[in-house]
Amino acid sequence: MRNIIGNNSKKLILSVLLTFFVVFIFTIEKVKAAAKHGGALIIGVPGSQKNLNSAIYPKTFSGQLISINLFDGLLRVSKFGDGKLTPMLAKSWNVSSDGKTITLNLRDDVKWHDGKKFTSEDVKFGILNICKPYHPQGKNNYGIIESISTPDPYKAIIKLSKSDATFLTKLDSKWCSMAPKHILENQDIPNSAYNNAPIGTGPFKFVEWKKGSHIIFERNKDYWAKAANGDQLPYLDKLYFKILPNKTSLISSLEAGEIDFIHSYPGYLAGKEIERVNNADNGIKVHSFAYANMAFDFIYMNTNGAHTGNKKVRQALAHLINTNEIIDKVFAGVADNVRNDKQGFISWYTGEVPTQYYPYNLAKAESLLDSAGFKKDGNGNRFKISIIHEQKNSNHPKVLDIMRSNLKAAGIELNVMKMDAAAITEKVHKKMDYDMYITTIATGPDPDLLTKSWHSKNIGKGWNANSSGYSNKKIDALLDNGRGELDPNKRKKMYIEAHQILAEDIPMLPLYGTKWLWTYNENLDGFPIGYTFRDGLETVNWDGKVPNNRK
Amino acid sequence: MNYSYLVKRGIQIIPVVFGILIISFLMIHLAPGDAVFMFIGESGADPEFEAAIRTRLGLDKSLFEQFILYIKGIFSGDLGRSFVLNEDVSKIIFDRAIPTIILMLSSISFGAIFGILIGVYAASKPYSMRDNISMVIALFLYSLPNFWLGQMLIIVFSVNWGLLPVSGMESMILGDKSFLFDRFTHLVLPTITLGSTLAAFVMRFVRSSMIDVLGQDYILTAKSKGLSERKIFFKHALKNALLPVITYIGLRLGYMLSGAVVIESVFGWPGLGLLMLDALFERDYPLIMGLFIVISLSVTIITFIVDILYTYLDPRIRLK
Repeated sequence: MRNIIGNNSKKLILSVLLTFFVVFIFTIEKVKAAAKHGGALIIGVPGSQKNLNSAIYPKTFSGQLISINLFDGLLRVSKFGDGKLTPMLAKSWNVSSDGKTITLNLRDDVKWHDGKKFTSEDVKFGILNICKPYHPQGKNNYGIIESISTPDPYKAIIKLSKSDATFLTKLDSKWCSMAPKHILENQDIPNSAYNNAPIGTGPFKFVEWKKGSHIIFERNKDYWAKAANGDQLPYLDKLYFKILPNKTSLISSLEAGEIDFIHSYPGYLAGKEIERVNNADNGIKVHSFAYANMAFDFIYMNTNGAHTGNKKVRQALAHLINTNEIIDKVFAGVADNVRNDKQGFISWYTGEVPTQYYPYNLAKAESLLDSAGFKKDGNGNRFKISIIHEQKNSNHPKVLDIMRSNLKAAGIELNVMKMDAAAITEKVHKKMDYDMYITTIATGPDPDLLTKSWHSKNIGKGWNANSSGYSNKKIDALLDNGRGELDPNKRKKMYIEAHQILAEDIPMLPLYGTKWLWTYNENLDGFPIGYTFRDGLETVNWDGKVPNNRK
Repeated sequence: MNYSYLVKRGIQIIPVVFGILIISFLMIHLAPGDAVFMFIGESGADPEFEAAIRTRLGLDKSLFEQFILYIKGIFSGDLGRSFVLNEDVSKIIFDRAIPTIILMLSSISFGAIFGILIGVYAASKPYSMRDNISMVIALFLYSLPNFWLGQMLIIVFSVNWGLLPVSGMESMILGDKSFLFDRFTHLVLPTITLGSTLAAFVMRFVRSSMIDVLGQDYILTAKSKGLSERKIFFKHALKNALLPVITYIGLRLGYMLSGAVVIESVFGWPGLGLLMLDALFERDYPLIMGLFIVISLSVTIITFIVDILYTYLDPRIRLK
């Protein structure tokens, strides 16, 4: 009897202990999870913003970085440029075999910041009535849509007039953020007050925008997304975007610990500036993540220019620019040389390197120039050529100083011209009245994005379009077919071929790859965010160590 | 007071402002760069979108038509709508004028008080050590470029010593600081930077003006009547010596406003200067025009007020 009782009580004690243990573990997990939540983040933002409506495109990088926290896309092109798509507001999708019908199954637990439900009507309205007419790339991206039907509140069917391998990537929030039909339905969209105080479905809600000073968002408690460990996102209670109009005050603010984080602007911090931030000894460090898609600084060559119109001259110029010297002197080594073995704009996608590339080679450059008919005169001079750079970029003047002496060695005099963005738009992108222009581009997540710069239909069509005036029917055909081709292997072959031709013709000359540098307080957790700089901050948190002045 | 003079002087403002209006309208439209392209942004657009934007912004009309429309707008009290900020120009300018006014007032007060104190101190013993030192201070302050001084102050006081904030007008998270103290700490460095040149000029101005007045006959009379040095110095001399200083400060306002453009950019001060820089780079024509009009009007009106003040303070002056 005793034994039995004894056995029973042992069992009882054991089960009570076990229950306690389970509850204990569970509570610890809970506490740990809860500990990650809370606190505020102060983000330094260079330059001013124009509007916060991601759906009609806030026109500046910094505007997108901020507004993206208020919005979601239907799906997200995944990190690191592997081209994979992850679900967002659409939990699954299905593409018909001819590529012309796309069925989106939407989440049923998504609410707008004002509490209304997000439905397929919002998808139809968002794509057709906002992104298509009011996003500057809208017609290019959504022009092939024949119709969107909404058989039920959580299903949308998009019918296309032809197949397009890139269409799904255009449903990323970068291109089309979902905006609420019930608010915008009868509004004059571009002039709506909504653009300055938007309501989205995103992880944060709009609170205040004091122009020229700061923008404040707060946590969206009803956000639909959860972290991989089951934590409710987002972690932070508040986001403060502090507007810092110039780089010097941005760096000083980092040194003084007044801001916790700046987004990655390719090439924004370089050389000594990185050292300054890292040496400030306040926990804020510059971090570099390897994203497959790259940011390049490159030179547009005017293929109709007096000198640059000659392919041999373009190749000679490529051989003359000493990229190693630039990387050492201007970037203190923190940049990728894309001129030797990794040369090319879309090597990250094709995996293949063009057979023709242009390492520094003075003798070869001189012989190319001679054979192009630009021989040296009695004083050792060949010709004068000019290059334009934008006044806001502080690295380019230093790069061009080196380039000037590089070209001088071959008897070419380089005339450096500094202009503001508006003047460059007119002179380079619209009138194409220039020789060379140095600028920055971020490639990926699809090689098709660069079609804009190479296809002859995009000559003179504005920023990052075909401003070289480059026209090659073979390239046009390859790019057109590449966009429509649904078989990934066939598609890749087309881009490899195009890449090879472009490497020989060099309408655009890549100089070096600038790093994606994220500057943040080491106590922060949840990095890297997104595949490029355009993702929200919902995963970022203080990891239970919220500083007193961020509570 | 001579009222017909006032009216005449007031009427002169009209052609001045109108002239500024025409010149600035032409200049910003003739500058290279297309507002539509800036509006569209970095990713470009198809031609139809571009044309639609051009029509919406009214840039498809001829320059003359645009000018006439703009003038009509001004007379009905409408400064237009900003291309990029999506708000009425008058509202934007009003919101952003307040920080600039605060910065100007504090810089003028700093410049005037600091300048007068040192100037008077130097004049009390001309060509002495104290005079020479004040001379060096003045030279130092007005030969320093403002933006450089600003950067140096930030590095020393904010980055190295952590005493004052780097930039902006308010802390993002106030914590246990009081609102006023927080605003004050943000104001210190921009005020010193913007006010330093004024202080240098006022210093030299007050000094020479004081020395000049102290040599006048009536000072000798006062001395011979047995008044104390102190009384002569502060009551009889200083009061008269400060008269030209007031006009001078009034006339410096225009320069200070242009200085504010630089200082606001260095310190991220959310005022008109920063707004103007942004508007210029974005080719936001209505906003640039609105700013030019408001700034030129305020400078001419301040000059006008200073003129009146001067005739009022010094009855000997009768301007015709």
